[in-house]
Amino acid sequence: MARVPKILGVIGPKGGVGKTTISANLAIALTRAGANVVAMDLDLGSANLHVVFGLRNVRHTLDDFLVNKVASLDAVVMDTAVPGLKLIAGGNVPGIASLPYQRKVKLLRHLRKLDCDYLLLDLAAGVTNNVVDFALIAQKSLLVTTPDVPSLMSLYSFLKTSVYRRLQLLFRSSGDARLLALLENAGDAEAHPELKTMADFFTQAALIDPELAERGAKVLARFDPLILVNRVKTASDMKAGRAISNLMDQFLGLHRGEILSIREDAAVGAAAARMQPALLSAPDCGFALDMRKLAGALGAASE
Amino acid sequence: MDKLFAAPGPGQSPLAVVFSPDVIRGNITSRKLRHEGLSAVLFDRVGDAVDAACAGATRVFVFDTAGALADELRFLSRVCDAWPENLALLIVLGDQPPELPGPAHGGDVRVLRDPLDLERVASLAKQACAGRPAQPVQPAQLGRSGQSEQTRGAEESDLEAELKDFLRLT
Ligand SMILES: Nc1ncnc2c1ncn2[C@@H]1O[C@H](COP(=O)(O)OP(=O)(O)OP(=O)(O)O)[C@@H](O)[C@H]1O
Ligand SMILES: [Mg+2]
Repeated sequence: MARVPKILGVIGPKGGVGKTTISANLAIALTRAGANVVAMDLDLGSANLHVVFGLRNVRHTLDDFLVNKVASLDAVVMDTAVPGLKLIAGGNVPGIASLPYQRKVKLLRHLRKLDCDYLLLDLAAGVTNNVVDFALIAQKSLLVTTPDVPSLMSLYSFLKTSVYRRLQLLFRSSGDARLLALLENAGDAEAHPELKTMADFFTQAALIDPELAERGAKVLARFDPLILVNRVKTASDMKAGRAISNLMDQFLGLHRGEILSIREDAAVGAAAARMQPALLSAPDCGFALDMRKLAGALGAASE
Repeated sequence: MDKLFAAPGPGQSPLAVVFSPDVIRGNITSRKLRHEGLSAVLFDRVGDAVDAACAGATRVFVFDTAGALADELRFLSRVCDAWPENLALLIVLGDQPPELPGPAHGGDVRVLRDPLDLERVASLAKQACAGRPAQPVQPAQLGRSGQSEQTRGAEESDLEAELKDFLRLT
């Protein structure tokens, strides 16, 4: 039987927090642990994952598949210099950044058929429909943030949108307009302070439709993201992960967030300047160590 | 007047006035200024912000144009036309700032494309305020966020409390 890849979404709604850097280096760390990996650039419109790997010009990109220039996703999978690691580069077709739903479904179908152990999705910044939907594809979400307040706030907004989207999809498919309306009210905290937390929401929802409310709660209970606090410099930076996971717990009904910190490392910038991932040019640097730890936390065997 | 934060005590006007159509972003900016020791007041109504900036000792007016309405943007040129004598600096935030007439009275206008470039806003504001004897900031005016950098982060939940505040989860 063909293996089905474990899909990892590298998510970070604030721009420049390190999604692409982490995607590239984690992909290498996973292959070094013996896995077959495909890293895919889903930053449609401003793709740059291939650049991190030192590839300036790529013959085929994901766009070719999305605009039906090639029939199969396999046609856009490229080899890299790292054994076991393949890459799907993103293109830069204008307008493609907002993909119609049908295209996303088609893409998802093909993604599941890729022959690898891990499929890593490098997502775009922002909280657009595309990003939120692609993030839902992932079995494991890696939430990347830096320790600063704007990045943490963007992450919270993203998670809130994502929670609502998950519930919305469930309630829609169950055809329950009352729970959809209640969910909409919960989104307007000013007007509905009584629905401030997800716990409040589920209490009210259970009065309307206990069975569906419970299914909704289960959807959230399954969500077990890994919070990656990147560019950590000081001990107090480490608190950022705890702060956001507490908010997720208290307000969003997300109780399973785990935290891992990734240090700020000059080797990362130096490697980027040479268009090489730090794991290749400085395999013993602190950042590389953190990447191996992350690969281990994701279930890859150690070297 | 629809102020989102308490103004400095009676008879005092803030060194910095912040207008932002986005409460959360405005909140972050004014917090940052207060962390830097400048009394700052946030407004979400442009008319009130302009009134405050034109009065008393206000040295810096931060005007966030990202998401602002055309009616709100018109107030910007009004400030430049009738530049108040007390004002040293107008910081315009946003990547599509409107064209502005040059300010009178030797005032200065700076445009920062990133509306969340906090470090830059803070350093420009501090420079502008340094020209005048700085008003001592009363601890009572500052609230929790006015703690000094040294005490900030002393307790585990400080960042969390700050996030809650910004996200209006309190
Ligand atoms: N741990 C780290 N230490 C030092 N520099 C880092 C670290 N992580 C990322 N950087 C640097 O931060 C910058 C932004 O990183 P990157 O492009 O990976 O972010 P991104 O989240 O993918 O951005 P975008 O939202 O634009 O896609 C790069 O210059 C990268 O070298
Ligand atoms: Mg990126």
